[in-house]
Amino acid sequence: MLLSELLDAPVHGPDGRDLGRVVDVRFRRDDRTDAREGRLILIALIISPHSRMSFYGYERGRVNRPAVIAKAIAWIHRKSRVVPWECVQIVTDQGVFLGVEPPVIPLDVRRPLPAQQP
Amino acid sequence: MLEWYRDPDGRGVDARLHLLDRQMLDRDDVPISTVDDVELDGVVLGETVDHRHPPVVGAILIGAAVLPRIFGGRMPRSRWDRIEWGHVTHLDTVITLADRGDDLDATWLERWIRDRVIAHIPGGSHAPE
Amino acid sequence: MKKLFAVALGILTAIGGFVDIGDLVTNAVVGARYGMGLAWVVVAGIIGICVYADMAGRVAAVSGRATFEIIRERLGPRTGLANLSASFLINLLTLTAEIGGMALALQLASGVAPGMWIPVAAFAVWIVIWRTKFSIMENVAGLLGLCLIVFAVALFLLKPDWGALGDQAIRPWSAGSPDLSYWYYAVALFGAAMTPYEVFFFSSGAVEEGWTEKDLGTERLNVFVGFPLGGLLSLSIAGCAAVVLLPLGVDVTSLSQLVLPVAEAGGRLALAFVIVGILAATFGAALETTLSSGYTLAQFFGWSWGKFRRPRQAARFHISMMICLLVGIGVLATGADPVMVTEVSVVFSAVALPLTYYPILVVANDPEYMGDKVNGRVRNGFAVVFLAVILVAAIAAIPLMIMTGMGS
Repeated sequence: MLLSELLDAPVHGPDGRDLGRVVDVRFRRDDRTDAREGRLILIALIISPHSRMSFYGYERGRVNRPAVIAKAIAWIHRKSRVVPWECVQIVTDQGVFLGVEPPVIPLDVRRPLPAQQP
Repeated sequence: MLEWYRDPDGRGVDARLHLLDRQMLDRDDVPISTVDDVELDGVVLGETVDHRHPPVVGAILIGAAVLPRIFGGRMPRSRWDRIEWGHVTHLDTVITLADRGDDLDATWLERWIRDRVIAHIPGGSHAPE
Repeated sequence: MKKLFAVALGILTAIGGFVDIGDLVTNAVVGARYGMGLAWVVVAGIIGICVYADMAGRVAAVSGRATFEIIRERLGPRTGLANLSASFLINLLTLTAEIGGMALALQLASGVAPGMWIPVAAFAVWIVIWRTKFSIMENVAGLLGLCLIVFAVALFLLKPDWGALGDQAIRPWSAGSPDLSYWYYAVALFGAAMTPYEVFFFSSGAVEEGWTEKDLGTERLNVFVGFPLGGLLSLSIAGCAAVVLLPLGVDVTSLSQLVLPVAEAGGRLALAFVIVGILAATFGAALETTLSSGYTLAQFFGWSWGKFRRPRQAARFHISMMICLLVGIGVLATGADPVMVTEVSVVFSAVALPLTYYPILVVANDPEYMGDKVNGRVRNGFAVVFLAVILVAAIAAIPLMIMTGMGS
């Protein structure tokens, strides 16, 4: 599969609910092996219920200046969340279908994880 | 445990943020292409995901692969210009490869223009003076 | 002299932004119509381009990444392509105009019709890009372009009423509220001062020069000497037109009218300088825009680029520039007026500004690229203010152009 087939795909919850679209895909870097980069292992999808735009870095709490712009973008992307790959059941032409209800993990590292989790 | 997904041991790499559209350089720091798309191994469109083997990045695609990202649609596999992930030595603000650009199949277009056009114009091999 | 060479990149970049053929004519037109009433726009443009060119230069020096690579990375291929299309079109139109401008300057010098000079001019641009070292190119073109200082000299020699000029500049609306055309020219001048190809050229030039973190001082010097100097030349041209042409009610439409004040002030010697200056400035701007076409295409697609490489090692880069020059010749061969061509492109330039400057601002704040050299509060403050101004200009540009019929 190509990454571009995952990006911007609609995401459907286990009950069929529309959860938004895939705005990014998160990997974890494996250990380096003799002067080469390690494997990149897919661990999660980053999903946004409304905004298709990504103003990179700002909504993840890593780049935070200029303050005016950072705050505006953090607000636009406030509902973006991280969905673990384990929740995904199948990816088709119609989008990503989740098998289990995903926990709510806000994308912005400065936002706390909510107490109640499904 | 959930926090790990937000910061997996400090080793998180987000595709759009860190990988896609990044410049790729060969071992001599000569630009090859931008990362136009990425091939994922371990997940297939239309097949139930096998969670015993999480997907990994198999290869970087360059060249015409940028077109579906701009205009939509899908490109047949036989037309992909691929660079296997195993060729990558460094991933940071640029992606560095272990090989020389000329040794990779995927860079055929630059070689073609060099050999068929530039080579016929006098002075092309000289360093600028 | 060596110190002067150190800032040649900044000067050459500024030439393309402030005194290329389009600016030369626009400044004269504005001076002949509004006197110094739009001087504040030039000053605003100088500050704006200094802020952003400095940022683009810093990013290029610290991270090694030239501006258009960053644009695609931050905006994605779709929006990046929109920017590329706009920027490429502007580059192409401007380079066409510059080649035309070179031909006009050569006509002034020799009396031979410009049509004969067009292929000569295009060939000259090509051969310099093909064979000359970047540093030699910037030193020669930049320094010869400084001959335009003759406009400033002429302004003094004309013994103008400085008080009146100053009054026009500080209180441009004392004679009644400005018409829409005034605002059209304001946006056009601002768009011209901050034209994206300036930062594409400057940041790519930074990479051509091999600047690193150690060279940030040089980079800053280039920006803060080059652009104000360019702006000063701009203002001198407007000033000369204000003093000589405004009282006569002359509407500037040709190059010979533009140089009238200089000839009046300093005679044949000054005229010689100004012709050399115009030729050098249009030549420099032609180089800058042609190279920018190559840089933007190559950086968007990730091709190998740079004059520091042998042409063999940057095949697609060189071939695209050759194609651009050929298209330029083709357009001029149809008899299109090159200056009118640039005036249109400047307005579109204003529209493309936000797509160019926003990514620069983002990356300049990203520690992954800049380490500890991220923007401080002051830089960010200026940058955000100018981003807002740029947005306003971008939105107003096309409506103003239509409503005023391009300032008529």
